[in-house]
Amino acid sequence: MLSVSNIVKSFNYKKILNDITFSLSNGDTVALLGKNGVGKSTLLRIIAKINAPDNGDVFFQNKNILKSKSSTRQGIYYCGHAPGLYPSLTAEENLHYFSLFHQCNPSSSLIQTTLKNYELSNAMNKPVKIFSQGMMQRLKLAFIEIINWKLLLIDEPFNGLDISGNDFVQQKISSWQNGERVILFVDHNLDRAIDISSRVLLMDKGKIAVDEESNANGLFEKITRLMH
Amino acid sequence: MLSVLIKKELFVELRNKEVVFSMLAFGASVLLIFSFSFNGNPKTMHEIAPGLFWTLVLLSSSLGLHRMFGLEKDFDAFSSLIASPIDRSIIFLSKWISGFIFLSLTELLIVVPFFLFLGLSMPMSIMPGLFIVLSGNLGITAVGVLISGLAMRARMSAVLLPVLLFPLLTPLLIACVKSTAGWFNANPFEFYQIWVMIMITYVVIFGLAGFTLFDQITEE
Repeated sequence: MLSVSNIVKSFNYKKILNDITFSLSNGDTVALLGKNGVGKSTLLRIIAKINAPDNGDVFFQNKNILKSKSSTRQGIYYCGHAPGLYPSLTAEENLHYFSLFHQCNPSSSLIQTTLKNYELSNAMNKPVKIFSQGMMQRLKLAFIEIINWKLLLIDEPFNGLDISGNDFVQQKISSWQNGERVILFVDHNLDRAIDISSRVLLMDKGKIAVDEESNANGLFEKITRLMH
Repeated sequence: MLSVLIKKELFVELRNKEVVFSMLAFGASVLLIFSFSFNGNPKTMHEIAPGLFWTLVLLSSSLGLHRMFGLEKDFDAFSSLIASPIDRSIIFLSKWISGFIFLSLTELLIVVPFFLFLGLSMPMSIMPGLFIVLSGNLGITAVGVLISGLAMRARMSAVLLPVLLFPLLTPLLIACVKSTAGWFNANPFEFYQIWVMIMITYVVIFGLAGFTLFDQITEE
């Protein structure tokens, strides 16, 4: 479904991503790991076409999304570090507009039910600028339930969540995977990342240093060694 | 999708009231300074009024254009917007149209005080003036949205915007001032049509440039 080939990206003449190549198939839930500053978020942003690579291509459903029209990106949802929401709009309004941007037109009741499931029903009509980081994170995740997506790019989904929120999102990630989708997420908790994912990509020195199934023998030790 | 995006721009502004209010407050302050600074005779005021009007518009619009993108930068909503499967040319169009609406609305609110404070008499024929002002607004917002889109990711975008915007807008503003002066002096249209043509050319060139380049400009 997703094929990333020979991605190169530099910032201030420093090569952050150096010839990154990998492919993901339907049903993959992939943890993208690596030290801080290794370029994990940048890679996600390149796949989402927010950042432009210096070189390389990204194919989604056999179409080069970096060189084709915007409709070829239909089905990709990027959930970044930042809230990525309009602060003055309410939770409901944000979900409504961003759903429309993704060519979905959810009913008001669907939005309300989803917000309720994400424990945001009390804050539904409040502007998101007054939300806590955890509430903001829940809202971003609630959006995933509403739109039709095939490839989910999610940067640190557990950021700002308490223990119950962590468990909740962990369950959600498992439930989102229906065998037809690809989830690529960034996480810093190695145990959890291995637990949730079916495959692990470890970035080191601008390259993919490890690309293995999550249940591979000695994976934890191998990654721990490379990350120190 | 264009209508959805325009609706969103207007809705966000309705909530924040930042773009129009900042332009209006700034425009009113500049107008007040003008009215106290130029105590010339009515003939002199009549001659310099077009220049004063467009200076007022330029200064106010730079503030508004910066806020238009600033509102999306605060929570990085812009990244979510450009990551969605929307043609970025359409995003440019929506920003251009909404920017044009905000600027025209501000001018509508400031034009009466402008004539009153500077002791000017309104020309008899309104339509040519309206055409000139709206064309000027289209040109300013086309260039402004293009440059704001370019500058928004920079660290000092508030400084970078006027530095890039003002030189680029100079030819357009000269044409705006000359056309407005022609209209103010009740000259026949043939006398200033060349300046109106320049304005329209500017709108077309920068409208097309924004439409085609916005995709590249918005990517980091």
